[in-house]
Amino acid sequence: MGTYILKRLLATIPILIGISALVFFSLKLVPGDPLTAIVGDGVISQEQAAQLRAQYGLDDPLHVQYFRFVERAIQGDLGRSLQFKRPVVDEIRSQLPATLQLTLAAMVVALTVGLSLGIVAALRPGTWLDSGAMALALAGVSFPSFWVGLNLLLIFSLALGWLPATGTEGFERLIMPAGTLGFGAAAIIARLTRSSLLEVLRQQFITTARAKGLGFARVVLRHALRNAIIPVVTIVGLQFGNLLAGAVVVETVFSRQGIGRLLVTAILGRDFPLVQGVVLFVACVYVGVNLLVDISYALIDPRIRYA
Amino acid sequence: MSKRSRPNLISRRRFIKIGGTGAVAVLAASCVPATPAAPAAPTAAPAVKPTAAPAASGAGKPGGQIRYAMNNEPDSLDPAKTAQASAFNVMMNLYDTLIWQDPGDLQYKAGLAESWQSSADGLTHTFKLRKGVKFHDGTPFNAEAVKFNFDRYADPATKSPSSTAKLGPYAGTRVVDEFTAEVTLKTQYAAFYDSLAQTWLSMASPTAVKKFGDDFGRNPVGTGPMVFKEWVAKDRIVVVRNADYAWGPAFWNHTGPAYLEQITFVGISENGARLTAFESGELQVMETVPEGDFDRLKKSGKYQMVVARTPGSPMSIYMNTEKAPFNDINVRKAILHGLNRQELINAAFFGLYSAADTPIADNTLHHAKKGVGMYPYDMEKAKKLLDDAGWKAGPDGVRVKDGQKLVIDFVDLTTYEPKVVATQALLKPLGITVNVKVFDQATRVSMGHKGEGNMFSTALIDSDPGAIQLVFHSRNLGGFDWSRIKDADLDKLLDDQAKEPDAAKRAALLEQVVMKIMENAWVYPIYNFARLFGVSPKVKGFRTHPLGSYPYLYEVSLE
Repeated sequence: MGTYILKRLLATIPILIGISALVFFSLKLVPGDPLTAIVGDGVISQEQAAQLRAQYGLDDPLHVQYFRFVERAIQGDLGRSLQFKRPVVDEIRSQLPATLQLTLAAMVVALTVGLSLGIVAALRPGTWLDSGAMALALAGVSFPSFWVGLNLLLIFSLALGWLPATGTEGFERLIMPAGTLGFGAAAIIARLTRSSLLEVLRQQFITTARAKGLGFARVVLRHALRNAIIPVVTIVGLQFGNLLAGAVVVETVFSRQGIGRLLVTAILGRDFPLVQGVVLFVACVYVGVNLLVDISYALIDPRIRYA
Repeated sequence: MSKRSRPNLISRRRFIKIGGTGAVAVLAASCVPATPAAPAAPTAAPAVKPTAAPAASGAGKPGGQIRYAMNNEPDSLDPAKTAQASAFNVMMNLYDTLIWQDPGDLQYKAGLAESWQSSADGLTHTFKLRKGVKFHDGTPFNAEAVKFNFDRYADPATKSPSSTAKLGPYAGTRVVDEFTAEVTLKTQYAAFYDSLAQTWLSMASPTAVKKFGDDFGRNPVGTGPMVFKEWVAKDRIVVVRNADYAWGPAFWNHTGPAYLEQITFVGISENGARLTAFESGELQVMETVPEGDFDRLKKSGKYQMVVARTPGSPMSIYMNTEKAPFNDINVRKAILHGLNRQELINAAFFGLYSAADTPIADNTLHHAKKGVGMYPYDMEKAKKLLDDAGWKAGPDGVRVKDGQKLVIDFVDLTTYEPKVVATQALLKPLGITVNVKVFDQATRVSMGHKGEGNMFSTALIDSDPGAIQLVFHSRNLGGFDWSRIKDADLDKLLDDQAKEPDAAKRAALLEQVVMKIMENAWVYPIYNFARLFGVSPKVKGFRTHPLGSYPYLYEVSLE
């Protein structure tokens, strides 16, 4: 197991190098000047533009800029944000807790809603309960999160005045964003739980368990669900990545702190060092989560072993 | 960005002038010691209409706090490290400037400098400083602090996107005594006093700048009416009342500390979210209200809706003169006659803004009246101009010349789409097809710089009219000279006005500039730029700074 984890960790190095190069050079293909990050919406003279370009090293050839970035990144320095004039690492660190809070809360929503709907639907296949649960799941997959988010805002902030529309601090500011983000993920989890559970419930060992007199709840939760959950765990891992991506939209709609909003601001402002840093960071998270998912298989299913 | 950047319906544009311009109109009365109350602008100046609301009468009630939403988070609160409107907004509360521009009469008034005097050649300026002023960290304000700040703003190593340019041909500061600072300039600089009254050149605590270094922008320390408390990135900036404050400009509605105990600034880029938060009562002030919603909120009668005009150059369409069809003056003239300005304002902006038809707005120094009304709306004349230019109506109604259709790419900001679409509709009867090409700020600015497109639009915010050189002088080709004008005569006029110390002569030169631009039909001015605010009815005393219309939150109180 140790060797396996080590191998996987080593394999991330070329992935990260590839991602950083891809991001760096694709950013340069996008129209727009990183001077936008420095001057914002100001109108400046050509003379001043030239001075600023020279001062920030934006005149250097691309490969020089890239290797300067790599050299620093290896030492743990992701550079300074052109826009916010402070280290990229500080920017990420300041936004991370809010995004983690949001994704975890959304995951709780997704799992609670998704598993419940999936189990209910699987236990009563073909009934109105099943159709209702699956219709809800379909809605979750189909409605874009910005639409859901704006509607929640209209209902709960503007019409009812129950929840604050913007901001980060406090539980009441987490409810709508986490609900919005979790809703989409819940849908996928519900559908997968249903189909996986239906399949397991048809197997002989379930009949055996029932025959030896085990209670219904025990059979479903301990025997059936444990077997049905493996594909769900995979999808939960992938969903975690999707949640991070979804945070980009949800954090913007609700004006929450977070990595997603940081990335949007960085991209629109052509704040290249910040975009680089955030993308590299998110890539690391993806790789890390995938590794955790693979390891968790071994824990859930004793037949799976890594060497 | 904004910023954007940031979906903002009205993006703010500011104007940063390069140095090396000439003597200020202000110096016309050189050698005469200017007293705080003395008019600093020449009396010969054309009528300048103050746009700010009069100061609220009656004392406000101290106490309370407000939440104030901007459409983006500032990048830095170090005056030397930012060029953003949102930063200016917050910094105005944290810092003071040596002098202030009075929104009532647009004259320069005492701030941290009690009085000032200029030498006959306009190169030496002596400031007598106010005594007893302290920075928020306890550092005393004195001539050393003035020298420290100006030297820092002028230093290329500061890498400032705004302050260095604002300071112009700065040579140095001499500390005459503890409360007398003498600033020298290398050449005459028309916009010097104008610049000094702007937050980009405000006074920061030397102790704090040295202590925090690059992080000063996150730990700002000034002398202003509010003290920085905290900045939670991407969430809020909180400032609290400075209990010691006693050195505000005389034109403010009261003396002593600010009324409000605390102001929380938030950056909400999503228009829908900002509106929802405002309408649900979470915010007391909302900036950049989308025009359509402004109209709706105003009609609801529940809020104070403020249209705060900015000085400078109106929101205008710049026509790329390097490419067909706008390389032909007749086609440009056809646009000036054939595009109905008032209908454009009504269709795209709910008629909120006032029409403008010359490049220097009528609330700006040296606005040239002579240029007004040169191109009245005249569809028939526009059609004839196009016919004469060889663009004949084709079978589908679109004009054709040498097998080419009359098609125009209008490149603009995503949030300006209503303007582009309205232009498209209004030019269709002329037989002109307009392609709507909207992008984010960085992309469309870069396309403007490269001339990728036929029409571009921007407004310029500046209290000094000379700033229009940024969009008309050939040295800014490849920059914001989006009409791509390369005209030696215009360049010379622009250079001369910047150096002209005599106000009347400068006005005459600027009139020639305006006439030259309009005779050549290089630009289609649309409307006087303004910022739109939504203010809660509980907020009293809301009025704005003459430049860029930033509110004086010092004067604000709650009911």
